[in-house]
Amino acid sequence: MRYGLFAAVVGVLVSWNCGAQAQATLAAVKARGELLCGVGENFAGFFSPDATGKYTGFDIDFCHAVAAATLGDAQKVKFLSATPSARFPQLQSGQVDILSREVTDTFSRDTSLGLDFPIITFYDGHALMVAKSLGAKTAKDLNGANVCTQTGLSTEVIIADYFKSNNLTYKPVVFDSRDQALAAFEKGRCDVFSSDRSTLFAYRSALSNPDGFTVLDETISKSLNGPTVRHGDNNWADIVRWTGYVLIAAEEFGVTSTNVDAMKADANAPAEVRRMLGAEGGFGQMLGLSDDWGYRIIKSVGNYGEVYDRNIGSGSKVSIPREKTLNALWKNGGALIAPSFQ
Amino acid sequence: MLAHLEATAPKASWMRRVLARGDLVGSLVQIALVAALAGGAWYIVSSTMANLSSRGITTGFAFLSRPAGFDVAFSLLPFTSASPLWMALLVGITNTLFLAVTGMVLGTLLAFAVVSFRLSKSPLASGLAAGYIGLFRNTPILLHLLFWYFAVFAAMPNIRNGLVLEDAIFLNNRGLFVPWPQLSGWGWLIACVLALLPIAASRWMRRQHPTSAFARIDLSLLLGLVLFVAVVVIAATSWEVPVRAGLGMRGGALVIPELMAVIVAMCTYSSAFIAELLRGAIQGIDRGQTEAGQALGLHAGAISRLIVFPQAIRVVIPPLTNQYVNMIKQTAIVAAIAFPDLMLIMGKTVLTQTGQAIESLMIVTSVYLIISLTAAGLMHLYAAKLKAVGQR
Repeated sequence: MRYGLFAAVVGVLVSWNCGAQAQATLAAVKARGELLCGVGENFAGFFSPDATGKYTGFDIDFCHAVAAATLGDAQKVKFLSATPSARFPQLQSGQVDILSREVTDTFSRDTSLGLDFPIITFYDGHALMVAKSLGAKTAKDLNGANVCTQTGLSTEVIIADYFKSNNLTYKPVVFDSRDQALAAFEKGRCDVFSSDRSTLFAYRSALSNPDGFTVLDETISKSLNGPTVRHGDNNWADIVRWTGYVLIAAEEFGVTSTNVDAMKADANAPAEVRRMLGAEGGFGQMLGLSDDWGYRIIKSVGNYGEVYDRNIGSGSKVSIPREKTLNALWKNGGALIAPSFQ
Repeated sequence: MLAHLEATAPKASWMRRVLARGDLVGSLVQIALVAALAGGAWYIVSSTMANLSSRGITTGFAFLSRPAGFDVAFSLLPFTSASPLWMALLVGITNTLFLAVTGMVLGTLLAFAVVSFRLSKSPLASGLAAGYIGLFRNTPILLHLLFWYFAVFAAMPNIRNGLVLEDAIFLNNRGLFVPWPQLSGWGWLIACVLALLPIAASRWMRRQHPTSAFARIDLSLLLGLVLFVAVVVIAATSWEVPVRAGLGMRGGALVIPELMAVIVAMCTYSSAFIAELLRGAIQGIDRGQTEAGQALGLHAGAISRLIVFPQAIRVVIPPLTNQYVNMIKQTAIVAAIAFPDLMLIMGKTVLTQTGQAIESLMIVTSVYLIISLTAAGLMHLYAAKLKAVGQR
């Protein structure tokens, strides 16, 4: 992990030509014939290896979708490990084309680090996991608590803000590695383990006694997560943004991986659907892609709902509720909405 | 005028010598090499700056004046989440220095004990010490750190079932809580000054009556410690006793489990290395020195203290400097068990909170470099002083 960080920083130091390529990520990806996608190490549901060692997950599928849109083949992706401390230098130095690992969009990241957050694909927020034996029902019962966290995320600042604004005292216990933070928490070193709610569900499923622990209902922060690209390549940011919008719009229009062929061939389908799938309008060329880019995305990974259910929804091991959360479609009271294909 | 001539004379002769020896080409090559290195360095720095700005990455150290926003579990300086980031940097530096100094002092004291066992005539004591040294010298320190943390200090009973002494001292998996004296700044200052008095007196005594018991540094250190504790106990207006509050404890002084694990792991680990260095140095002293001491009628303790150790110290300083500098750098692994040292605060938390990777790592690198070079320099000065005494 340390080597990764140093390699990435050295990458920033010695990458003479990348400045000139600021506008040319798409050309570089096409010339390479492969998308370089930075993901995390192991995060059940979002990015984790399956039994055969192949990576699967919500964020993995997003990179497959971008590869399908840009290269015509969802499998032309190389997944690279991007740790919390090394991920930004890796992107900045051009070692990856895109980070797809639940990076939280914040003001300072967006404005001062040379990063862009084209689209939010997952709404999350920090929550608190405690042992059931502690008897805490709400976060207000946690005065004097020791809180285990992993460094490299926004957690340390969120916890400090939350406890301070509620006039509660606490002691931070900040680990370099997630595994050690969880081990210490499970041993009872801390009363609380804090991270994004989705993360806590994934972590809890990996504890030796998941039923002994519970995630409190309060969400103490908002985390707007999504893919991250380099600042300055507007064309590439547009491609990533509209890949996300295709996933969302397809769910809204009822286009799925199974009916996409029929929808594309159907001359009576709504005009927006036909433009999205490349049957008319020539929209792909405006992005520098072939016109059937939207069709290829849906054909290979399905729409947002399919991606969600397969990886983190009710059909998966992690099982993060979607109903009545911000991750539902706008029609169902959520925050997921795509602009019109006009 | 004369001074001026003296200053220019060696320069002229140096030029003449270079020309006479025909080293001009060699000199030119060296100059070209230095110029190429400087040019290369300039190119790297300038292109890095250009690359960073072309990507819209803010550079510079202005971010250090932003508020930190996070809390730190252990700090010798007053620190809250509202403190600026440069204060967090200072906390990181003091925590790292605290670990390094504590590790060096306790590790060296422990090493003296280990080496006296190792060199003892009893095969049991010597064998035990050899086993101890072998165990620690041939295993990685990270292993010891994780063992002391996860198997010992973090595995202690919880706060409800922990050890309680006299309702004042608490030991559990939240740490060691002890009563703390309420003392004004002046009280602490007077205690420190009084503690230093016996040490200064013994240094003075050493010059006047080298053989007097009052000249012994170990006795004066002990006396200083006793004086310090006595002043604190007498001058304290009250003692703040830790009490249960919410899920944790309030009041008193807290030694967090992470710190206990780090200190124990570092001291035991480094003591094995230092003990071997000491053994090598002591065994390197000619047997005739000991025999000469015996011939003078000195007992064994006096022979080691007055004859063997002073000579061994001189030999052991260069390798010991190496060991100390290694220990300073080794403190960086404590991030693995959540002790907030320079590496964890600056190289991890600040780096990821601000995203200023290059600046943060530059700061961390420079600080370690300065601390290590200073330690090596001080040891070098000490060695030079000992050498001068020996030559006289």
